[in-house]
Amino acid sequence: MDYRLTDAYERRLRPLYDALDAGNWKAGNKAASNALAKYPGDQTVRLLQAILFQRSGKKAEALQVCTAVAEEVPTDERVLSTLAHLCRRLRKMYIIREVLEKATAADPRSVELLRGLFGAYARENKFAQQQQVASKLQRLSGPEEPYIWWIVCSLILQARAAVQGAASPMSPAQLLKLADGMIVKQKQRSDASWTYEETMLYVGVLQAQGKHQQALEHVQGCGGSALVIAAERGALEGRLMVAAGRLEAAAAHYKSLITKHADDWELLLSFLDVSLRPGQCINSSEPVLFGLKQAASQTADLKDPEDTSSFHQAAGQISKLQKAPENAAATTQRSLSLAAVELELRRSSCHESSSSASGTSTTGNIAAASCPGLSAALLQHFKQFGHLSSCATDLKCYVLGMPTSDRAKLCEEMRLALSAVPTFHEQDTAKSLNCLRKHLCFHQIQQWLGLPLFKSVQQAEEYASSLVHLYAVSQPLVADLEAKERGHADELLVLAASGLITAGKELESSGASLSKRLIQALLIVEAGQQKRHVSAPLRLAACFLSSLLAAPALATAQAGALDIKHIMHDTISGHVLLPGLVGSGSEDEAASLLDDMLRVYSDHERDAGDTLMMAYESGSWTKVVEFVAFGEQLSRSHTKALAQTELCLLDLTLHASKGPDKLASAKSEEMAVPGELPASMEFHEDLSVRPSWMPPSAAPAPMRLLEWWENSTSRPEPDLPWWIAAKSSSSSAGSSWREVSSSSLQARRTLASQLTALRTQLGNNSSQFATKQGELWRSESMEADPFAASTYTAASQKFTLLLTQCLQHTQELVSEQSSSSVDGQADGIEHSRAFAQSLHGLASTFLGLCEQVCHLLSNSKPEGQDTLLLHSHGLLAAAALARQQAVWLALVLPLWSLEHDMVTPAQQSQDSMGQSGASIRQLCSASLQKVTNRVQELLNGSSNMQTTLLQEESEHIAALWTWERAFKPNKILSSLARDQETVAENIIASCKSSLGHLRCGAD
Amino acid sequence: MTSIRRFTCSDLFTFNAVNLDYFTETYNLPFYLQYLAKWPEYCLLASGPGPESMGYIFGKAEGEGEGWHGHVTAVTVAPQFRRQRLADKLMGILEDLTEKMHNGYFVDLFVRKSNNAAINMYKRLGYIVYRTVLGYYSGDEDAYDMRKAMPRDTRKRSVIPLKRPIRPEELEHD
Repeated sequence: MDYRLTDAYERRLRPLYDALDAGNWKAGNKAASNALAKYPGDQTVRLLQAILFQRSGKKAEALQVCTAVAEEVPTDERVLSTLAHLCRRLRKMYIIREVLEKATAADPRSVELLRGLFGAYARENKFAQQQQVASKLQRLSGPEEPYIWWIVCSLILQARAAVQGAASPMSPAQLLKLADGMIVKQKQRSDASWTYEETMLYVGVLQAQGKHQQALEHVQGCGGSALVIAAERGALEGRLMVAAGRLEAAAAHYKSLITKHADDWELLLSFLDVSLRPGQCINSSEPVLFGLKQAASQTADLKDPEDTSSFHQAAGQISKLQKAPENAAATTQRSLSLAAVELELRRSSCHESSSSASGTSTTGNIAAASCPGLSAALLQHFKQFGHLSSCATDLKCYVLGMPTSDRAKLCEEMRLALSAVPTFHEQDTAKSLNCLRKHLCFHQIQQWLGLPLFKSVQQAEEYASSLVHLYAVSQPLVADLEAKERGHADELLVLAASGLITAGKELESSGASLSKRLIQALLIVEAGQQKRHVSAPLRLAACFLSSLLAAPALATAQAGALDIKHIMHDTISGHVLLPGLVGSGSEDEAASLLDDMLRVYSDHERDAGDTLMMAYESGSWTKVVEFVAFGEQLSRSHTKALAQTELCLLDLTLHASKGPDKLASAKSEEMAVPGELPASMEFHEDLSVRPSWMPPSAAPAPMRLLEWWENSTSRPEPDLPWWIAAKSSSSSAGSSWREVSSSSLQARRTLASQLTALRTQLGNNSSQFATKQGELWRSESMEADPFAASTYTAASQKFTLLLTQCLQHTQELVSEQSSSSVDGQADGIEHSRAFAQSLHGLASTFLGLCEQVCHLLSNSKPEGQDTLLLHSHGLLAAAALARQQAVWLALVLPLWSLEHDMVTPAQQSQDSMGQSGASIRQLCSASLQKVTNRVQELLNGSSNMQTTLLQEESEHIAALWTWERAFKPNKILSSLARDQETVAENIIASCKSSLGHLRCGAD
Repeated sequence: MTSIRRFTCSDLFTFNAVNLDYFTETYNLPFYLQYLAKWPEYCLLASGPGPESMGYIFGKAEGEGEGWHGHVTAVTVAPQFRRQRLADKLMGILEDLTEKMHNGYFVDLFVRKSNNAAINMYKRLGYIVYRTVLGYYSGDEDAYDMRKAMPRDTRKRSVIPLKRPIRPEELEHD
């Protein structure tokens, strides 16, 4: 009898499993040794011990055991599953795949081994190989088993890969034809009715081949019964009719559908699509392979914009539905009213498209010409449904599509409509709530329209006070809500804050004044959080405000309260929290966030195979394709690439700040090295979580907050906050943001990879160091120049430009030095001169940078208020300087120590600048010292500053937060000040370290 | 004003308006993908103009014999779309699927004992408190196991309340 089937064996293994569960490595190792003494060489025990090794950090030992057991080609199910578990932990799934390949070669009739091998191929996206294994399984198991569908999925996945450019012996068309034939044959063999998954997969295969009519017939026939939600089936039929070119039938079909489902928004949109823009519908007739377009589409044949009959008919249909008694329900009426708004937007974009031929609905693109119809429909909807909490969200995309000329008029008409609505009903809570919501909706829409326009900050303060007052009055209405629920009027405080910030940004040139507005705004939203602890609008606003005020710990706490985790890191963390951390030099917090962000992707790479196999085993065929596509989406994520790049640069900076030698001697495993950027990145960023005063930035992450401070919007025509619309990605502003973000990240990535390559090849000898530097700079393609100012400083000014110029000079320096080393003495004088020039360039930019930082830190110094709190812009600039200079100094210092040998006194005298390297170094030291002193000075004066600030503010606009008795503004100001002090201390420490390197070099 | 369709992986990128809410848990990716792989019919998203994610429901079918039932794992609506009976609609579809597709005996769910708003909503939809699960939620909060019988349970045996509270380890399913 096999000893592994005995109780004695199980008894030996039990303590090992228990130790693993308890995380007790010592006990586990002892149990493993005991078991191996009894059962020498037992594979399960060795693998369990290897898992202990892996979990206790001994990765090399674990891998050694893993490889050794794999070479024995185990076939026992328990051993294989333990080995698979270990491989997954070690992220070496190819090992288990290789074992299974050998095992199935030895035992080709084992269904279990073949299923394991199929899973191993599926995990690695080896679609052709998995298809071959599925075919073997099908031959072994017969047609009753689901393996035929595994083959079909494998064929579809191969076709997808081929469409995306993967090499394939068969064309996508051949692969799809094969899949099509297999599905038909399989269903002919079986009496079973079509399942939902089978129907949808078959429809997908038919559509991918352009067989839309056949797909329609299938859904209308035997396949349709699997779609149990009537509206879902109807919608699919409608889409297939459109795809098949049967537009009249589709129009009639949708007309009938919306009669039954008048509150289904997608059906209403489809009805308008097919009724108003049949030309665009023709586009959908092209073959689409599960989301991938295969061929160029037909040219859209837009309806004649002068033909108003189709609009008239569609409007008539909607009006008829509005009057129908069966549609009297409020939700249905709301739906139909909004359909009328949608219709007007399309009417206006149709007129636009007559000149541009690009009219797309609800994308946030602003029409140029006046659209009275759209204004009237919006106003009507507001009057009728403004009391619903969703009204502003419902209207958002339409408001953002309003032409400039109509905005003020619409706003005024809404205000008039609101004038009869009181803000509060003493006796009737429900009525009060409706009134409150209507006021909130108006103010929200007003701000999205870029209004009101303030002529003075005082006006903005009065506006903010009025909103805060409305909020305070509404408090009895939220008395019954739990503290963790969102309040009915929380957004009012965000809007009040927004008014102050907008006015401050446009009307106040001094950074100190704008800091004061931000502090006011922060106090407003913090006051709101006294009772509403986790209201997302308040927390998000406070997070951005804290980041702008150079208070990264406060920002992190705000985001932390929202429990942003897992997939939300991909959509939120990278653009909401990360810039505040890397921009203020909070290295540890930034590294921790970046680790969390990157874990989302690495964990998915590890676990995706399991859920993919669940989909195969559950017969969820459409999910198989969807999961593969999802994996691709995550792997191409812009946030992922951003996090990898910033983590690498953070590592480099941390090592560089300790000096060039430390940078050179850092072990490779201590630093993450980013690979190539994906050819096309996917932007999953949810920009709608950003406030209307915080546009998304495309600058490098550490400079994004600086960019906000340096850029100001231009009036009189304000930019509408395009980013808050759910469909913002399809707007032209969204495309432009993605394009610049890609260039910016490409530049950062190139910088990271160049610095990494440079670091790994550094020698201790400074001349070798310099030569290697130059070789590497020169070996990189200039097309991917990380210092090209045009790439990521397009939208930035002053400070960010200076930072970039410093990097450019660094590059010039090492290039000059390199060519000097390579070319020898013949051109020595020329190179020395060029080198000296570059050195002066760097020095002069560096001095300018330090001056700029000092200026920002000293700017507008009101009496008694010379505090850190009012110098957030300067603090962020100093943090960026402190962070970046570490890299420059690490790169350039060895060159400076060579400089004495290269630039002879005679040459120096010929040089127009006439300064030696030593004197330049002294100048740089002095400038850096000045920055350090200034930060220190502000730090010393930070005590009691919040009281002074608050006293002045309290007299000025006390109403902004005194409504909340429990709120202690001084407490917030103290936290803010403490946070800023930490940032300041870090800046001073970093500058002092750099000063040490500079002086050390001078010696 | 709503369109309800099957939840897809891509919806994870756009569900923040719903999930940025204290009462809505954001799970790790294997959690969502497991539900999508095994019970795709029970994972539904409600979307509105924009398109904005308004809310979603995740559920599963489980149990044996007369214990075969539909389970509501998560049902949530974004704060601005609440009080519009959207959760009713999502629950209605899940019940419909339990009855017509899976032929289950009942639908059940767990809810915090302190969440009166949700408990009242479920009661309005015909659910009863079947039993109390002690310390079910982290922080030791008790849960109510609420149930609604489906037509297959003709004698309504699944909804005879248990008097004795149970511990989480006594639950039949995870």
